Amino acid sequence: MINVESLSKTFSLASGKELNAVDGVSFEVHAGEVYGLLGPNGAGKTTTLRMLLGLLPSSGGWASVAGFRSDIEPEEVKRRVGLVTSGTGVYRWLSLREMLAFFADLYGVAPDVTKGRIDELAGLLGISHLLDRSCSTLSTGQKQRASLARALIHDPSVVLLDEPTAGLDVMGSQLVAAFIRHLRELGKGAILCTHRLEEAERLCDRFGLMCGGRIISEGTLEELQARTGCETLTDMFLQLSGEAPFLEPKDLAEVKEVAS
Amino acid sequence: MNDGKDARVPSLPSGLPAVSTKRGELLRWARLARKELRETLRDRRTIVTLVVMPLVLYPLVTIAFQTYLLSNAPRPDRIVYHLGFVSPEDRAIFLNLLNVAAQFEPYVPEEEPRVEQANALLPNSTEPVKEAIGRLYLTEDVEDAVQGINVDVGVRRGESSPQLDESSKTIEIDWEFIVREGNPRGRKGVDFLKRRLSLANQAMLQARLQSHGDLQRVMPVQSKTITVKSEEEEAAIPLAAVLPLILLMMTITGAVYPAIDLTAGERERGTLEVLMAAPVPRVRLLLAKYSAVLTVALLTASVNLLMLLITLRLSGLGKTLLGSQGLTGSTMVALALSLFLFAAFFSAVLLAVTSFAQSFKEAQAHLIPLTLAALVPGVASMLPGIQLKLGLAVVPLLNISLLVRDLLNGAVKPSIMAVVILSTLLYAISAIALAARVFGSDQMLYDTETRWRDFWRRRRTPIDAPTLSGAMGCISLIFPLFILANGGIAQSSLQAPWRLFCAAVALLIVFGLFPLLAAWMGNVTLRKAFAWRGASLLGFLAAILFGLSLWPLCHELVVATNLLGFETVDRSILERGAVTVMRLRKMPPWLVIGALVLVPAIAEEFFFRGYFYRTLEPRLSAARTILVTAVLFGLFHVVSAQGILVERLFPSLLMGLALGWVRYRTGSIFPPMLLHACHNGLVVFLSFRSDFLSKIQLLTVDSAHLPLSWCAAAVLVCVGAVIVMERSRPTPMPTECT
Repeated sequence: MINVESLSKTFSLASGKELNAVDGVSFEVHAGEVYGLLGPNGAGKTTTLRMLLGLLPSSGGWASVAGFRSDIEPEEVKRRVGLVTSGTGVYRWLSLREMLAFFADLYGVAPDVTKGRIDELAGLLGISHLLDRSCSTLSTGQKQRASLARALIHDPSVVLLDEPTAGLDVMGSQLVAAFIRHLRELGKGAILCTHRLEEAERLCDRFGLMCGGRIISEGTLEELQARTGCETLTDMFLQLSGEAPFLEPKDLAEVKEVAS
Repeated sequence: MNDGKDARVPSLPSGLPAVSTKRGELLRWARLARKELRETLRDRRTIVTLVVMPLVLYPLVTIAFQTYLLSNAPRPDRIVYHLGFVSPEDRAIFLNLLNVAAQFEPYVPEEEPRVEQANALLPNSTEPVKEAIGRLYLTEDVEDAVQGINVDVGVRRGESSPQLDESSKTIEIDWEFIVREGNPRGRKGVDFLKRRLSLANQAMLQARLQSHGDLQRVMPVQSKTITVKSEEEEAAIPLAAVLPLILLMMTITGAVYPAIDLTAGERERGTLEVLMAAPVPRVRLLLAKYSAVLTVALLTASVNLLMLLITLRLSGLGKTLLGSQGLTGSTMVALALSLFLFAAFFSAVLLAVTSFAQSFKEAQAHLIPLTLAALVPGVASMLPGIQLKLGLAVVPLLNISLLVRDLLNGAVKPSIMAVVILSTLLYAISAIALAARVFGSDQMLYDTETRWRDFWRRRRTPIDAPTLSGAMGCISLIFPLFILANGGIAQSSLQAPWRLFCAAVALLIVFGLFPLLAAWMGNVTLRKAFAWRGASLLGFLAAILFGLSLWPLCHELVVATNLLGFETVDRSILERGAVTVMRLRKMPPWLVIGALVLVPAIAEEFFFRGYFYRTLEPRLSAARTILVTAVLFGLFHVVSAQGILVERLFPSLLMGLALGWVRYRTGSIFPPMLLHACHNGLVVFLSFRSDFLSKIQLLTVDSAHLPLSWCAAAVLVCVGAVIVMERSRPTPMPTECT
């Protein structure tokens, strides 16, 4: 369903130097599978997703969704993908129903189908009572539910989730988790980008651990455990990336000294 | 690795019904546009600029105008003078003399009041006297009286004033005018009285001469100065100078906020990325946004125009500003159409500029210089001496400002207006294309250090066909340059051969160099962009046959256009044409053939059947591609150094269709070039040999039509060319487009 092959992205910096944000990343995601693309901030997760969706041209390699390459036929890829980001931007002068109808139109959903689809998704996400309210009056959690509904409005076969729980409270995070499980039940392929490793551990079928633009290890939780000997994704990640996990008590004392 | 083309499905993967028909797509676009408009109109800030500002502005403008008019109202140049007399007798005689200037009717007052209004004592006098003489005082000491504030000029008879004999018509009076030193009113009053007495003297002498049967006038040699007011000066403030500027600025004001909100606003509220993630081409999104901005701009223009109309009617300023007719229906329509054209252009420019911005603040910073730049042509159109000619008709903004001014003055050439409209719409399309290139691009989405120059860099990945935005940008450059080059060379003082040489070089640059640069910038594979590929011999043969047979049909189309009443070629142009042919005969043949046959054939085909055809080829059907290129080809040929020659439209269209069809059938640029060269060569040959043709009676000078046999032969050869072309191997057209 999703194929990523040797995907790379190099940014030219203002200083004249070049930054390899993504460096030869390859992975596959199958239908009904939730793939966790994990890593710290700046690992290249979001850049990978943007290239996969055709929003950003790659410097090398390619990505495809349902056989359509994002660099050649980006519109065919976009047609098959729903995007959920950490941002919960809404059109504040539109009602929630109008906004969802607008996105349904963007994705070419026939107008006679749109209304039923909106009602169905609103029921699923518990926002039926908000449909006729202006988007400007929605809370952050409600906006995130609206974003989830928006991502599914055209019933895509693939959903890309980029830090979907950022800024959400426990209830919001739980809803997103339920949403991802729902996607799996629907047989959709999904990529979850997050740096909340414990959350990914519960939701994903397979994992790609990214660091410095590369996938440093890939597999199911069991495979990764066997490979690293670590129990949790956090430990595995720290071991594979070779970075200090956290400050030791003696380091904290040094920090205090510097601060004073 | 599965690159799985076989996995493609035509509809949405989930099976949700998708919009697929053309009508459905159109309706979908209309819904997208409606969303943008709805969002904009719900914003109170839009309503403020749309309704509240005009409601406040125009009454304020009216007050300002009225204040201006009052402060600049023509002041009476005749001051009212108050005179002092020592006796009623003196007063009566003096006033009689003033009346004498108009007629010989003495005035005898019934009473002798101490102070009298001059008008009452001057019942038969002329207006200047009535208006100039105020109160008349009787005083014993006029010298004392002029020291005060009441009397400007004291009037008394001099010591040697012996006679006033009405019966013998002998009048000898010496008057003394007494004024206070340093009193300007007194001095002016004396000048006035002296002038009046001089007129009285003339009138009396005239009467005396006439009574002696002498028809000689008193002043044998006279002169007068006549000052002619121009029509424009009749109105204190020409409407064309000020009000259009206000209307233009208000229209901009209405469009600015929606333009920012729908572009930079998308990024600021965090909706840009999800919008770009949707499978809609950026140009379509931009068109929906453009329609919303344009609608608001048009609404603003309409509300402003309406408020202007109401204000002018209610305040009564209409006639003061616009002359006796006031704001007429035709003026309103002209203003509305010009404003709509301006709105169409400026909305597109606003979208292009605000698309570069990453935030509201940045967009506003970008728009300040743009608004100032928009003011310059508005103000320039108020300056005297700037005329809307062909050259200025292609200068953005200035052309509309001048058009509005000239429309109000009722002095616009339709041909120039057509150039203004065409060029403005072309610029608008280019601006939208630029906006589509910038809006939501990956640089704008993710690069916080995006600069304008990032969008002028050469494309990295090669493509097979030019992009629409690239082609529109290229045409927007070519069109004004073509017109300016045509006009500049025609008006230059160069010798005829050099002028011809420059015209050929200009043609090569405009139609050759610019498309080449555009293709290079867009990283279009040059061989594909310009269809540099071979063609079959039959294809070339058909092109030659077309080239030799189309000119009689073109000629008849010119005649038919004239018969329909579109005769824009006047006699002077024809005469100039004849002179040009005479000059051409004296020039070296290589120059004539190069400049009139080879260069147009190569350069024009390079652009029309090369670059532009290839731009449309993957996007439109073959028939539409041929038609659109032919229409553009025709439009370019209508513009000449002499102005707009409508006669050239249909022949050029026919040529364009034939050239396009040959390009389609052969898939190569070379047969159309050959066709074009044959056609031009034959026309040049016939022009050179017209005297010879006349001698052998092949070309009748008296009739505009060609002999029927010629036309029949031409049609037969054309049919032959079509058959030959049909027999040639058709070239499969590439359909891919990146």
